[in-house]
This record gives sequence, C-alpha cells and structure tokens, in this order.
Amino acid sequence: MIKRLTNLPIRQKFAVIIIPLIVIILAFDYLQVRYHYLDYSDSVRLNKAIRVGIEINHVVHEIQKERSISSGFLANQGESFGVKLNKQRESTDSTLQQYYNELTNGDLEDLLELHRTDLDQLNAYFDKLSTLRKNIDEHRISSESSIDRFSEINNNALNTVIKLIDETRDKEIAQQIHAIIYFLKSKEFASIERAIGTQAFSRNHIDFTLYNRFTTLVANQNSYLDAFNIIANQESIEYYNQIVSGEEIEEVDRMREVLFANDTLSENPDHWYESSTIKINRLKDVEDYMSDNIQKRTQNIAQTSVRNFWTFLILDVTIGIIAFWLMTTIVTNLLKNVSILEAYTRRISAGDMTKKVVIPTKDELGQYANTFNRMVLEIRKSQFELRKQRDKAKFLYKNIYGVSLVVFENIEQGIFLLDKEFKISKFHSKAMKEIFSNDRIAGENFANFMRPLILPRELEALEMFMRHLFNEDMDEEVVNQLNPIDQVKIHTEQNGIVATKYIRVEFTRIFRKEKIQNIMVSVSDETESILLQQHLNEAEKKKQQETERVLSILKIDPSILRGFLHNSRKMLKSISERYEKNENDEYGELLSFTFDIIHNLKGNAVVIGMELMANKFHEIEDSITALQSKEVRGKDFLAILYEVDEADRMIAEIAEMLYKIINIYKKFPAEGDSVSNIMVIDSLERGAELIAKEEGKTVNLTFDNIDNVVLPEAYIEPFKDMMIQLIRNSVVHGIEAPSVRMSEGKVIMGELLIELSKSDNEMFIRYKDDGRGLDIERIKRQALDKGLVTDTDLKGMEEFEIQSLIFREGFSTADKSGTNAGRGQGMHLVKSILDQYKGAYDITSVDGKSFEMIIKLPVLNVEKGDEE
Amino acid sequence: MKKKLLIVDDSSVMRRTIEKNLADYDLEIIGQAANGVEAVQMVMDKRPDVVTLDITMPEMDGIACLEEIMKINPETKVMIITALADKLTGLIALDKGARGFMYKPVNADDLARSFDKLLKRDGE
Amino acid sequence: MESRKEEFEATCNLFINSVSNYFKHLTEIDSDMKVPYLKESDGLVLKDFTGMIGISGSRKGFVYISANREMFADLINMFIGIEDPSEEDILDMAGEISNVVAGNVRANLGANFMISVPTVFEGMPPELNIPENVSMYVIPIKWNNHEAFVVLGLD
Repeated sequence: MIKRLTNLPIRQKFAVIIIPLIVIILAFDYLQVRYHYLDYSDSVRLNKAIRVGIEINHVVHEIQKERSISSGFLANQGESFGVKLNKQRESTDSTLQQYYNELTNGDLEDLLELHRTDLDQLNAYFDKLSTLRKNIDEHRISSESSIDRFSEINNNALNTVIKLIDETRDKEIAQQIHAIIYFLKSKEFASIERAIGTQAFSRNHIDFTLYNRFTTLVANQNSYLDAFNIIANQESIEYYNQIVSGEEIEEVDRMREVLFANDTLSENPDHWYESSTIKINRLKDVEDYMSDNIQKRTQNIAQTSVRNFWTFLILDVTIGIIAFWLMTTIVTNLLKNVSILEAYTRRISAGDMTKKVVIPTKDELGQYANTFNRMVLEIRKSQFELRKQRDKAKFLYKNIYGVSLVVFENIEQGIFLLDKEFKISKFHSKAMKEIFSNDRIAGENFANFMRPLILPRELEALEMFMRHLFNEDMDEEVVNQLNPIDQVKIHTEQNGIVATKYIRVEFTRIFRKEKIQNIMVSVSDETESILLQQHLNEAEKKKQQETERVLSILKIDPSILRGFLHNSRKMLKSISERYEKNENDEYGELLSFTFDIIHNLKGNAVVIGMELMANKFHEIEDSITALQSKEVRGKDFLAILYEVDEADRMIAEIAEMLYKIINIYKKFPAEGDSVSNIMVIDSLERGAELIAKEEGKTVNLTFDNIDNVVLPEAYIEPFKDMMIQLIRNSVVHGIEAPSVRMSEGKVIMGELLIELSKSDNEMFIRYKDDGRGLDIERIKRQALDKGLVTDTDLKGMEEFEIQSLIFREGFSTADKSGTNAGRGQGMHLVKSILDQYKGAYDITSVDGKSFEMIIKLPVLNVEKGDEE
Repeated sequence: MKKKLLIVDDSSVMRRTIEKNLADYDLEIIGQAANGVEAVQMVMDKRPDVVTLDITMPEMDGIACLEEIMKINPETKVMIITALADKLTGLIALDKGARGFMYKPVNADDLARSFDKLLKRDGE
Repeated sequence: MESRKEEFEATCNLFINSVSNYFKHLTEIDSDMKVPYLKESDGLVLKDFTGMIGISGSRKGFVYISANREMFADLINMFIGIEDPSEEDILDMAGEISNVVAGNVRANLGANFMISVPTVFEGMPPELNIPENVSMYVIPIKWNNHEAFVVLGLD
C-alpha cells in the first residue's frame, strides 16, 4: 500500500496530499458556517419563541388576576368583585387577543409548525375560559374549583411556554430561560396564593384545607424562588431585589402572616388582592425584564451569529479560495519545475548536455536545478575528460594495442600467458592455432594441452618446471636452465593427418607488484628448418637414383669408369694427406694445391662424360675460388674437406654401382670386350660433342675399324684417356670457330677421325682432325711463358721438337678457364700413358689443314690384363 | 658465523677448482666428497650449510644423495653443478630441494653469481 | 646438398665451439682451429689422453677429444694452481672436459641425438668401434701452444 503510494507520480502524490487538505478546510468551513448559522437560526427561533412566550405570559398574568378575582367573587357569592371581574375579563381577553394576533404574524410560521400540537392544545384550554366564566357567573362552580380550572389553564400555558423556549444551544440563555421558568412557576404560585388569600379574606376565615393549601403554595413559591435565585444572573436577581421590595411587598408578607396566624380574618379581601396584585405585578415586571433581557440577548446573539456567519462564510470562502489558489499555484509551479527538470533529465539521459536547465524559482527545486547544472557541467567535464581518455585509449589501441594485436595476428611465434593454475590466457597469438593445429587454447591447462603432444617424461618435467617457475624462492635463471621443452618434437593431428613438428618454447616470468603474476610463453615452430633437412635427405636419395640413371645413360665403359673412380679417390685422399702434413699454415698454398687436384679430376670427369662428378668438382672449385679472395683460416677448410669427402662418397657410390654393373657383364664374358669397345666409342662421341658444345663449335667423330680390332681391357682406359685429351685439344685449339671455317671455305662441322688397325705385334691408332694444325709460334710463346724452355733452347730446336713441347708437363695454351680447357695436364697425360704402355707416336701437322697423330701400341696377350 | 660448505664431485680437479674459486667467500670448507655415499656421511657428521653437488657420480648419484641430504637436514642449501643436460633430472633436483643449478663448465664468475644469489636468498 | 653440408658444419661447430668455449670460459685464452683433415680408422693417431663420446640417434658416430698430457697439466695448474698433477688428476681433467663438452652438445643437439657418458683412456683406444664408410674428420685445435684433436666420425 505504502509502496504503491510512494510509487505514484508526483502529480498524484500532490493530489493525495492536497485533496484531503482542501476537503478538511471545506469541512471546517462548513462546520463553522453551519455553527454560526445554527446559532443564528436558534437565536431567531428562540427570539420568536420568547415573543410568543411573553404574549402567553401576559395572558397567564391576566388569567392569574382573573382567577383571583373570580375566586373572591365566588367566595362571597358575588357580593364583591363583580365590577372588577368584568373589567378583568376584558383585560384578559385583550391580552388573549394580542396573543392570537401575535400567532398570525407571518414570521412565526416555522415556530408554529414546530409547536403546532402544543399551541393547539393551549388554544383549546384558552377556549375553555368562556365556559368557566359562565359557570362562575351562574355560581355553578365553587371557588376552589374555579381556582383549579384557571390554574389548569395557566399550568398548560406555562408548560407550553417552557416547551417553546426551553430549546437553545446557548448555555447562558438556557440557564436564564430556566431562571424565568422557575420565576414564572414561583409567580404562578404567588398568584394562586393571591387567589387563595382573596378567597379566604372574602370568607373571613380560613379552614384547615385552605390553610394547608396556602402554606404549600407559599413553600412551593419560595422553593422556585430559591431555584431562581440560584441560577438567575446577578442582574436579574438585583433587579428582583430592587423591584420586589418595599412597603407593598411587606404588606403582603404581613397579611400572609395574618392568614397563617388566624382562623378568623377581618382584613379586607380587596386590600389583600390589591397588595398581592402589586406584588405580582412587580413580579411581572421582573419577568418582563428578564424576558426582555433574553429577547435582547437572543436578538444580539442572532445578530452576532449572522455577522459571524457571514464573516466566517466570507472569511472561510476567502481562505479556501486563497488556499486553493496558493496550492494550485505552488503545485502548478512545482509541477512545472518538476516537469522542466524531468524534460531536462530526459534530454540528459538522451545524451544532450549542451543546455542548462532554467528554473525561475529559488526554492529547493531551483537549488536542485543549480546543483543539477553543476552536476551536468561536471559530467560534461568528465565526459570531456573521458572522451580525451577514450581518444587516448583509441590512440593507444590503434598504435600500441593495435600493433600488438597485429603482432599477435601476424607473429610467427605462439605467444600467451600462463596463470598460476597453468591456464593459457584468453589472448594468445594467432600462430598458436597453426603451430598446434588446435582451436581450444584459451583457458586450457598448458600441461593438459601439451599432454598428447609430448613424451610422458617431458610432460612430467614440464609440470615440475612450471611449478618451479611460479615459485618465488627459485631463481628464474636457475629454473629456465631446466626448460624441458626448450626444443621438443610434437605430433599434432589435423583432419586425421598426424604431423611432426619441432618447436622451441621459452618462458619468462611476468611480475606485478613484485609478485609473479604470469608466465609469458613463446613458442617458435622450427619444423621448417628441420623439415628442410629431411627434404634434403630425400633429395639426396633422389640424387642417388639420378646417379644410377645417369650412369646407365652414359654407358661409360666400366673399365674406363673404374679407372676414373680409382684415380679420383686417390687424388682426393691426397688432399687430406697434404692437410695432415701441414705444418706452417700455408693456407694459400693448400688452397691452390686442392684446386689443382679438383680441376684435374673435373677434366677427367668431363672427358668420360660424367657430368655429375664434373659438376661436383666444379662446385668445389667455386668454393675454393671464393676462399682465395679472402683471408683463410683453419676453420674454412672444414667446408672444403666436407665437400671433398662428399665427392669421395659420390665416387664410392658410383663405384658401388659400377661393381654391380660389372657383375652383370661378367655373366656374359664372350661379348665382354666388344661391348666395352662399343661403349668406349660411344662415350668418346659424347665427350667430343660435349666439349664442342661448350666451345661453341660443332664436330663429327668418325670411328674406323676395318680390321675389327678389339681393344683388350687393359688398353680401354689408356685409349680412352688419350683420345679424350686429343679430342679436347682438337676442339679447343685445332678446330676453328665456325665463322673462321666458313671464311676459309671449310665445312662448319669439324671432322675428327679415329682409326684402329693392327699388325701381328702392333696396334695402330690414327687420330686426325681438319683444323688449323699446330700453331708453332703460339707453342713457342706458351712454352716460354710457362718457363718450359728458354729463347736459346728454342733457337736450336727443330720443328718437330717444338711440336713435341705440347706433351710437356705444365704446358697449356688455353687462355680462358673452362671445364675443357687444359690446365697443364692435357697432352702430357697422353705422353705419360704412352710411356707407361711402351707406346710410340708420330705427329703430322699441315698448317691450316689438319693435325694427325699416329700411335703405336704393342699387342697384348688375349688374356685379360691384371692392371686395375 | 661462517657457513659450512661441502663440495661433492667425482672429479678431484673440479672439486679443487670449486674450492679455489670460492676461497673469497665467507665459507668454511668442511670437506669434499667424490661420491654420494661419502657425501651423505659427511653431511651427517659435519652438518654443512651449503653443498655443491654433481649429478653423475659413481656409487650414489646426485639425486639420491640430495634426497639423503634433505632427510638429514632440509635446511641445507644445495647447489647442483653438472654437465648433464637432462632437464627432468635437473627439475627433479629442484623438486627434491636443490636451491641452485649450474651447468658445467663453471668459471669463477658463474660460481660467484650463483653463490651470491644462493647466500642472499639464504640470508633473507 | 648445401644444407646437409651446413648441418655437418653445425654439428662440427657444436663440438668445436663447446671445446673452445670451455677454454675461453675457464681460462680466458682463445683457442684456434687448424686445418682439418680426413682419416681412416687404421690411420688415426691420437694424443696421450682421450675422452670418447658416443653419438646415437638419427645419426650415429663418436667424438674424441684428445690432447697431450701437457695441456691437461696446464689446465689443472690454471684451475687449482698445482704444478705437478698426478696421473689420476690428468685422467680426471680429460674426463671432465669430455663430460662438459658432451653435456653441452647434448643440450643443443635436439631430440634426435643421444650422447653417451664419455669414457677416458690413455694412448690409443683399446678398441675402435668405428663403423665402416664413416669419414673421420680430425680437427686440430691450438690452445696455449698445445694441440688438441676433436675427432668427429658421423655416418
């Protein structure tokens, strides 16, 4: 109920307060007005009643007199009072008529209406007077009875008067009315006393009954008078004492004493009557005085009441109107202000703070408005401050948080925080998802998160490790030394595919208020670099297959290949041996030594068409060349050594392959040699083609074997080595560039010829090209440059001797460095092979036309040689 | 009062190196042990405040030794000095109550830094 | 091919760096690597005292750390200050170096490599368990006028 009341809108609250207030004021007004109106109407009615009562009292007074006269008249059988009686009857009738006249007065209607019954009854009694008078005139009634009859009328009249007037709200008036009533009763008794006395004096004696009655009357009269004296106001009593005194009153008392003391009475009844009448008239004066007073008073009260009524009515209405107006004004004003505030707050809550609220009054609402304005100002200020902060935050967000978010979005590392429960923070870098192929990261316990990924032993260590990380007593550095997943292999699963990853995880304590708040964890995926390695392993395997493939395509004669391989291994080994013997750190020397060996091996590889090894050696050459340009340290040789070792390994692998191939050939021994021969020619053709291509020339190798000579295995390798050197020499030096050949009318394609033939104990190899032949001058220059000969030497030399210089060790005529150019080996190799196999040679060079070399070798036994 | 130090390492060279490098510290070297059994006996007899402990040792390894030391006196500050790179073993050592951990090789500076920390923490 | 070479170099460097770090960290004297060379098992010549560390895992092999008595004595002198160390001290010293180097390398080799606890011997090893087709790289390291070998054999 109270809650409902407190929840009412202000308007209704005001209504709840004001409406009862107005009702109370109106009720009060009404009561006031009604009170005064009642006072007025009461007084007016009482005034009227008293007017009527006075008229009745006049009648009663006259009837009292008539009663006494009638009683005296009857007591002495009409001897006296006859005249008086008639006079009195007229007087009585006159007052009676006055009374009736009064009743016809229009303004009495309401009173008459109210006391209709009483007045009708009284009038009926008054009507009885004529009958009574008649009975008196005819003496048909006793004196006592007449008194009773008259008294009966008077009694009724008095009672009517009492009924009329005994009804007022004014206490004072009520008291005075009672005083009058007592007085009237006392006067009635005094009047009856007069009547009894008149009767007694008229009979000249008083009997016992009469006496008793007389004394009772006096006693009653006195007791009413006493009552009057008690309640009448001072004024009335004083007036009474003043009026009802003097000789006449004393005379009545004296005659009353006479009556008390004597049985026989000699006094004149007239005298009694007159004296008593004087007294009663005096009493009547008092009565009139009092009636008059009351009438005045009631009139006064009526007037005051009317005045008061109007005064109150006007006053109350005025107050009511003023109150209503004030309230309305205040409430309206209040409500208006409230609604201003309401509208304002609504505007503010809508976010518009641009205006002030204006309340014209300086009451609390006005103060509230001021406070409100100040508040709004403060709010605006703080809003401004907030906006500034927000802008700052925005700036920070964009520039720092944004950056860190961007970093978190793009960084390749997984970054997150761990709390004391090892829970992964909500924010973590995006890379986490990719690294772990897992979406459920935030909020996970890191140990549980890692559980499926790492070994149980590592997990156990990780849990211990994290515990120690959060242990303030443990030094971070000490703990971090023991990071068990510093580098760890994990197996992630995505869409059912298990991937192996290598990750590095690092931990850093984050402090807040000198307490370890979090651990920052960064995860890097190092899989790629490690995977690369694995890819390389695979690539190596492929390369191995490639080698096999290359080998099979090359169809290099196994014996030639074996020689190459053997030679290569020996040479490579010599590098390491040279390193071992190194004493004085002659790094530069070591490098050129290594270079020469590798270069030679490269040449051999090219000649036999072994591109794979040629490339490898070329790579090593490059590595060495790179080192030659800077200051060399011992450490640098590790890389070369590794490459050398690698080349060695490759050769070993090829040897392995070769071994397998030879095993195959061994299954077909009959065809062994011829197959080898075919293969050797094939490889020489390839070699020529390759070299020519590199030199930007084209050549055609023709192989003639009219005698069907089959080279024994022992000769295959030397044959091939020699031919390769010759071919290289021809292509590089002999065969001219295509433009030159064209201008000289030669076929662009250079012709190379190898011819095999044999006699009984000799084998002939004829080698010929159609190039420019040997350039004697260039040979001379080269020999001089290389310091192979002196000018003096040259002067004493025959042409064939100069030609032979090309077979000397260290002679090379190539200007540029390529895989095919000689670096001092070349023709010397041919010479040393011939020396080894006890062969001989002859050279024919036709300037501008051809170069020809005929080689003679001794015929070997049919059995395979032991040479390896 | 000087803190009592026990050095435990199976290499005597290492023991003496540690001894030499810690000479400037307010430590009284109460003994050296070449294996875990010796070390436990010495801890029992001499009640050291600080122990440097190798992990790979014959007879009784460092971890078992650490456990025994902690049983005898859990207040002992044990500094693990090892070349063994196994993380779990290191963490177990911390779990068992080791207060410091160093990887070999350790030089004078390393020792100084670690001992400063160890003794400072001890003092707090 | 290049990366395999790099890996080889990285592995070599782990040991070389570990050894030179040992010298540098403990003696503050720099060591210098000399020209390395290849050896076959029968041609291997070791120094007076050698610590051997076995390697297993994805690549198998061994590492010898070998030096003459004088070098170890020199180290002992630096560490402890005694002039004339006993035979036991020298073995102890050789073992300690190998231990530390092995421990360090193990920490850096990653999960695919396992390293054995080193064994120390004087002179030539009683038994060379060298697999065939393994090239042995002999890496001489000069420190304080002493020569030490790091011999690396990996398949």
